[in-house]
Amino acid sequence: MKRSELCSRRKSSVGIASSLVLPGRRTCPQVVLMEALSCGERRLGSDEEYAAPAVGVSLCDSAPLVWRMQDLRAVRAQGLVGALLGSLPRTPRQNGRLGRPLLLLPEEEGLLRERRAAAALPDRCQQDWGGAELRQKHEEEEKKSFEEQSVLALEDRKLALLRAMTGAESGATSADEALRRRLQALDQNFTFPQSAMAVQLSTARAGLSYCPEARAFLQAYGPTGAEPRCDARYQVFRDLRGRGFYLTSAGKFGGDFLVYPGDPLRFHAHFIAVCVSLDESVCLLDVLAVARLGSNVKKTVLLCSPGPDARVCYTSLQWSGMI
Amino acid sequence: MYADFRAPRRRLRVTEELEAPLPLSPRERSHFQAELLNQHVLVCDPEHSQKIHDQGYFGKGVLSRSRPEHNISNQWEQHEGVFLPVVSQARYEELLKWVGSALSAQGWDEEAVHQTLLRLSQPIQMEDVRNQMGGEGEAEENGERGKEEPEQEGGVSPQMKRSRRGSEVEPEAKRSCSSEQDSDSSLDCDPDSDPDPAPLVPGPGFLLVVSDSETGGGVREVRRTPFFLSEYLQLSLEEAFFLVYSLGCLSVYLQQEPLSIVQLWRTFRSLRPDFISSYAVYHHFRSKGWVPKGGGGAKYGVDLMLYRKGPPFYHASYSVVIERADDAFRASPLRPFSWRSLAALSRITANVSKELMLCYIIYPADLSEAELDSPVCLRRLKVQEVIVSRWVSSRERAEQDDI
Repeated sequence: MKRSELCSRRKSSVGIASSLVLPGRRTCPQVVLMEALSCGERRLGSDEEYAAPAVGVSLCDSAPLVWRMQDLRAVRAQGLVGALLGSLPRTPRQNGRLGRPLLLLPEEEGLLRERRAAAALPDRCQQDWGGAELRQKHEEEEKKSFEEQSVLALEDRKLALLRAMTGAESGATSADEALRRRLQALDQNFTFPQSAMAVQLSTARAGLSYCPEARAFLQAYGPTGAEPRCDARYQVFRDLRGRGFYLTSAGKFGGDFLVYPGDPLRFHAHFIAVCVSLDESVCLLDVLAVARLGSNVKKTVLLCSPGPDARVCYTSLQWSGMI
Repeated sequence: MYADFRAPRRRLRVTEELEAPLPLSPRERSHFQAELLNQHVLVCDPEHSQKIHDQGYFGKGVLSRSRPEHNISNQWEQHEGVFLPVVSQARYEELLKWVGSALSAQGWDEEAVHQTLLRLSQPIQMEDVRNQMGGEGEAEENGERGKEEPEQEGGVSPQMKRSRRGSEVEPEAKRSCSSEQDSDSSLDCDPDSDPDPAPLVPGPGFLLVVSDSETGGGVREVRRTPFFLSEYLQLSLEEAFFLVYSLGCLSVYLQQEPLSIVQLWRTFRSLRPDFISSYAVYHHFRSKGWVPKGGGGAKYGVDLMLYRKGPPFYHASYSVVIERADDAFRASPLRPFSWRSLAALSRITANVSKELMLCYIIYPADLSEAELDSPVCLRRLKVQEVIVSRWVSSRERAEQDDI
């Protein structure tokens, strides 16, 4: 397959678009996709881009999560892709399309901090969101919903039973007796299992916006720039991002990053980047395995090593076949 | 927990027949000879190497992909009643150049080299060929007739192998007629083309040079073969030790001195530090009936590939990584995996339809250095096999339960 064909292949997944549907507004998917793309295509120009309002990053056991819609847009505008983690309330039992929050790679979080574009929200703000009363209200609503649902489920079952019985035998009087008996039994013995209850989450009111304390914190302290990390992965990430590539995690392919020439929604990955520091010894069999894997999935494997003068040295591997 | 067994996949084109592997019984003991040269074990005698390879698929020809089969050319043609290998003009001149450089490297002066090359490249008349063959005619004829009956040690094939001298296999000799790959296929033309007594294969030393198509349009001339290269069978250290120790049919010579089993064990341990683990794994799988091949594992990033019956018949079923451990599974591994490298290895193994197996050799804590110095320690080692497979969450999804 030629490189040019790879570049022009369009991807069909619109996973991220569905998560950007704002509550209370009905938009068609194409419009939302264009919105997402226009966010992603904003070029990294001057430093004015970085002076946008800070992104609040919630830390969940050191995993950086981004919850707010504006924050997600801002992160995408800076060319950082991340990975969506949450399930969509309307289609919960699938992981083809996921929703908020967005999990950032540690390198992405480091880059945001270096550009002074993000700050971690302090923990105490998350605890003081009126947790106790919210929880109580939620439990009451759940109980009410459970009672409603069990009534509805019982009626559903009776209807189904009626349909089955009258469909099978028609006109016999003994059938009515049996029917009545079965309906009675159903009334007495029917229990609606808790696990089968559908949980309703109102996304319109969920908000996921900052509590007042968090907003005050961000305004008062602002994002403090962090020292750029010195490990190999971060150096490589920064260098490749600076050249305009989009990077996502490549755990499936046995590498560190998947390198896209543009937004991942529009292109397939060209490279699998494997970060190795210069003084690290690599087992030859590992190099062979990852090179062969790259050829199997039609991507080029890049061995990336940050050098001493802040430049990164890249070596591409190609499996040429055997004698 | 036990893994599911997946049946080995048969290859599409199987051109060989399975012979019984080397026997264990002392009555039929055949004794082979090998040499330890430069940290490699080589079997030089072509008959021995053919037997060792055919009965159990031990070893690899040094100039070939699997069995030691070399030919100065992949194409053989019949020319005035004689079967000769065919090379192109360019290839022939390249071979002459090699002879020249080899002779100069040995210290010959330029004039002598030039004269020798001139003599070598004289055109040969067919009578000379036939005269030379007359001497070996008897043996060849018997061999030729013998090829019809496969009981006679495969007929002409041992003769062909003996008479063949090899060079590196090159696909340069491309002809309009179909190229013939093996001695087997070249023999196939024999009965069809000639109702007369089958054409004799000449002894080593003659080939057919085809001039380039622009000038002569494929005129063939007979020349003497410029040089002879004999091919050896190379055995890995584990294979050689298995043949010596478990089957007792090989003896390894170091500078014309045969080595005893313990001496061989110590020599191999000094050549490779983790020889005990790799030999234990080899022995374990051979005892179970698998054919472990060591060199090809590098293609898939592992140490060993396991074949059922042999490489020509089935694709490899398992890729084996050799690890060592102590009783509590705590020693430093021979090949430390990170999540990244294990993910890559497991994915590539799944892509090539094999199964990844980690084979742990468990050393008891009280194994002393003195015990390790002889192969008797093998009976105290234990083997644990672990199969690693890749689980993709989107493929396994439980069905929704109805109320």
